[in-house]
Amino acid sequence: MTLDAPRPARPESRLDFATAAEAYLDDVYGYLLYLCRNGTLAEDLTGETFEKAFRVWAKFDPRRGHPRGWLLSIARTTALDWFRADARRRKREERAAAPDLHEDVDVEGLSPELAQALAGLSAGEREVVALRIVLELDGETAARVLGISPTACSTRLSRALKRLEERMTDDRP
Amino acid sequence: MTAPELTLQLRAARPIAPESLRERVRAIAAAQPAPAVRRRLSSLRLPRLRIALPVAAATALAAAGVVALVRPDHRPSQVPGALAPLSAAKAPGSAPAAPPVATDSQAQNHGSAVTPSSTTQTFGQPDQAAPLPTPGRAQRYEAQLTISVRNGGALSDATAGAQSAVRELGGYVVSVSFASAQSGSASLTLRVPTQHVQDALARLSALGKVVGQQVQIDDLQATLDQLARRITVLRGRIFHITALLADPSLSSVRRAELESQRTELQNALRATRQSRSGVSAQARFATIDLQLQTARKAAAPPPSRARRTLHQAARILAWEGAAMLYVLVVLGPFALLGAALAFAARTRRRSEESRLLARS
Repeated sequence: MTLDAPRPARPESRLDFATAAEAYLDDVYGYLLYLCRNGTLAEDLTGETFEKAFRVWAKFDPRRGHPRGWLLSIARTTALDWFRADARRRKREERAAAPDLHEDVDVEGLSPELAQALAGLSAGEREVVALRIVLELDGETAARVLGISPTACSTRLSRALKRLEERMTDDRP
Repeated sequence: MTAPELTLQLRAARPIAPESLRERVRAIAAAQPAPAVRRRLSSLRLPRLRIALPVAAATALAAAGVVALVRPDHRPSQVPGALAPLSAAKAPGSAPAAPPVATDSQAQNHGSAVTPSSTTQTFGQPDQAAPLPTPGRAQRYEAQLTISVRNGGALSDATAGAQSAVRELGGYVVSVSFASAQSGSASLTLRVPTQHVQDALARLSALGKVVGQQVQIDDLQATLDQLARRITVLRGRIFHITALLADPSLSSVRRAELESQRTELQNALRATRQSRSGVSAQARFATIDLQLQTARKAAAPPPSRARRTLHQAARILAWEGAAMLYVLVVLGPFALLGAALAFAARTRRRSEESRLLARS
C-alpha cells in the first residue's frame, strides 16, 4: 500500500472563498483536531483560520499552490500562535496551579486502542499523521504546510506510524 | 496492527466539522469581499526574477549600444600614426598664407622666393619627409619625432642608438629620460648641427617606425641681418668719433663729451655682437625632441566606426559592471547579514515550533 495519495488537481480558475471554505472545512477542522486533541479548541481555531484566510484571500495565488494546502498552512500558524500564547499563559499561572484547559477528546470512529495510541504521540507527530494519512495530502504539500522538507516530512511520518504500531502492539492483551 | 490497517482505520474515522462550525464559516465567507491586498516585495519570487533578470541584462546592453551610437565624441581625438592636418602657424609680419618652408628645389618649384620667419608643420606618416632648413639662411630648427619600437629591449637599443648617432654627427644630448621597459617610453632632447639635421632625422627615423613628427622652423636671418647692420652703424659712428677726437683743437669739455659717447657706442657694439653670436649659435644647432615608445603604447590604426561603437559599448558595459560591483560590495555585507539574521530567525522559529509541538 502506498501512502502517497493522488495529488488534487489544481483548480482551473480561481475559486471563490465561499466554495473553498465549504470544500476544505472538514480538512482544516480534522487537522486541527488531531493537532490539538480538543474539539472546542479545534472549532475555535478553525473559525479563526477561516477569518484570517478571508482577510488575505485576495493574496492567494492559485498558480503557486492548492487552496487546501494554503488553508492548512494558515491553520497551522493559527494553532502554533495559540500554543505559544497557551505556553506563556501556563507559565504565568504555574504557581497558581491553574487547571489544564486541555480536554483530551477522542476522534469519533477510532478504536479505543488507536485513540489511546494517538494520544501518546506528540502534536508534531499527530499533525503529520493527520495531514498525510487522514487528509491524504501528498508529501510535497504536507511538507509545505509543515514548513519542512519532503524528506523530513516522510521521516516524521514513518516515526509516528512506527510509534503508533508499537503502542498498539503493547496495548494488545 | 500494521501500518496499512492503521491507515484504513484513521481514514475511515476522518473528522467531520460540526454543523455549528460550518454555519460560522459560511457566515465569514458571506461577509463583504475582502479588500485587495497590496502585493509586497516578498511576492517577487523566482519565476518573476527569471523574467526580470534577462530584461535587465537586455536593457543594459541596449543602453550601452544606444549611448555608444549617439555619443557625439566617439571619434578618437588624435590617433598617433594617422596623418595629422597640415597647419602653418602664422608669425607676426609673415605673409597671411605662408606656405611651409621648403627646400630650395621645392621653393623653386612653387615659384616662391618668400621665406617665412616662422613655420610649424606636422607630419604623421613615415613616408612624409620633414622640411629641412634652407641652406644659406640662419634658421632655428626644432623637431619633435615620435618613434615606435617593437618592445622594451628595442626601446633600450633605440635610446642608445639615438645618442650615439647624434654624437657621431657632431651633436650632443641635452637630456635623456628613459622609463622602465615595462612602461615602454623614453624621451630625449638632442642637438645636432643644423647642416646635419637631415642626416640626423634619417638615422633617428631608422630606429623604428615613425608614428609622428612635427617640425618648427624660425627664420633668424632677418634678425642676424639687422644685427649686422647695427654693428656696421655702430662701428661707423665709433670710427667717426675717434676721428673727431684726433683733432688737437678740441676743448676739454667737448673731448670729454665725445669720449663718453664713444664709450657708450663701444658698449652697444659689444652687446650687439654678443646678440649676434647667440642668434648664430641658435641657428648652428637644431633641437630634436625624440619620443620613443614601444608598439604596445603606440596606438593602432584608426578603428572603423563599427569597431569604435563596439568599443564604446563595451566600455559602457564595463562601467555598468563596475557600478554594479560597487553596489554589491557596498550592500553585500548588509545583504549577507540580513540573510544570516533571517536564517537564524527561521531556525529559531522552527526550533520553538518543534518544542511546542513536542510538549502538546
